[in-house]
Amino acid sequence: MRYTVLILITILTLAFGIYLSVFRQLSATHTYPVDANATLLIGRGYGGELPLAVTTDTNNLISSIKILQHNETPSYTGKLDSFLQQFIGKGTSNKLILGHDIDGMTGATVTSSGINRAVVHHFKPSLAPAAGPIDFIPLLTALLLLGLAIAALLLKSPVLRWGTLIGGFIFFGMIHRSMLSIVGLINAAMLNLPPLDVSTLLALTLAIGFIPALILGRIYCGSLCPFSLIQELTANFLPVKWRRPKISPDVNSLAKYIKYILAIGLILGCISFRSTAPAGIEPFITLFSRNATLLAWLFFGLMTIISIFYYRFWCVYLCPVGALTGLTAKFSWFKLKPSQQCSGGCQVCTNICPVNAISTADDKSLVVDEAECILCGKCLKGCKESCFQLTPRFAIKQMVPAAPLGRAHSSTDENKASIP
Amino acid sequence: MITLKTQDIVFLSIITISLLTMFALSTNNVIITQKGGSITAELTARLTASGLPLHPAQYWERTNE
Repeated sequence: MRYTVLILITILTLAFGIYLSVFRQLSATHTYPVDANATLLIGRGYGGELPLAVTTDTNNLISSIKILQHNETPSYTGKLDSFLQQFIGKGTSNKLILGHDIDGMTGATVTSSGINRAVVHHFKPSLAPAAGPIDFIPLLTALLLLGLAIAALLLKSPVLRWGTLIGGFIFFGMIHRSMLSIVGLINAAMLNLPPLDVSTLLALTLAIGFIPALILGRIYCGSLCPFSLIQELTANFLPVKWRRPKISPDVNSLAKYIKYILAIGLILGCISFRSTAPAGIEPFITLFSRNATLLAWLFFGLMTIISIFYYRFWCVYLCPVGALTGLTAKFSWFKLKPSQQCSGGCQVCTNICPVNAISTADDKSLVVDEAECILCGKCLKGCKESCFQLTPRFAIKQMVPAAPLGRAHSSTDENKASIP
Repeated sequence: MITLKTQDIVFLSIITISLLTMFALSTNNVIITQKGGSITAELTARLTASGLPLHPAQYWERTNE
């Protein structure tokens, strides 16, 4: 089994290396000229700096504007050319206000704002928008949703969990398009961040993805990710007998490694190209950007249809963000563990776990794979004997009253702090 | 040695199709993004002076035209 994984990783690494070396040669042939008299403007978008070449006519009106290079997510910048066209013929006599005489790109507010700020700063420096105030309402809403997701887990409430799934879909997806994505993570790692006033929610979303993963586990993946709602809905679309075809455990466990390989491959690809373009594959970006390519929509459709048959197919086998949060969850403070009284004989939890994160060890004890567990709470709710508990990794020392002289107290009953 | 059943083969085929589509999508994204500019020597010098990172595939100085 291990040798098979090693061989698979070696083949994929070699294939990826060949892809990079060949494709970088091909990509260097895409060129077009830019006027030597162009003025260089530097904007700041979702993926870092946006160098713009702008030419003006004798009346100081913009005659051409081209973006020289960008790291914006392609799905969000499908209408970049038509957006830039709006600046042609405009100059100091125009307001150049986003939403007034310049229409922003739907779903790409940060990119639109970055380009607009650069142009206004050049043509109307006195009106150049300074960084706006930080809006705390979205930040508090995001934290409230996180609190509800944790409450749903602790209270074992499916209704509350569905509420957070719908809330996450509307808030993170439809309204703010501020999802935890591999593109955002790589941009953050490369320090390609937009201005603070437009990136605070993005930064908070990254924190909501990983800090709770270090404490509890993959609560974001299970209850807040906007794509979760779609996959949960499709998972309940067909009658039970058609759902979840029985895959061999060996094949299933092998397939779960694909998301780790993908995550590594995408990170290496982005480092190699110095751009997050190779990582712009996530189906939820396609859904909420609304400007995606036909291929991106085909992939989104494919993932949605497959998730009718295989529960959370994208999350379990392919999601690079899920791989990274899963690795983080391996070190989480609290672990979902069966109590010592649990014999594991009933197998209710192993059958009920939708992501096959619970398995039976050789000694018949139950083992939970924290990297795969999305904290959906179905085992907590389904186990009639309430075997599962969130137990701290390291025991918390409690203040124990001093034992009377001459009478030792046992230390075995200490440190049993747990969340039921 | 893993013995594959019909359902395993169907599953692995789905995985393969998904990976190939992702590969095509990733490649397409790179093509879209890298359609940036061939820029002149003068602009290249100004870009260099601006302190922006220069990447041969992104800042391509055309010398043959």
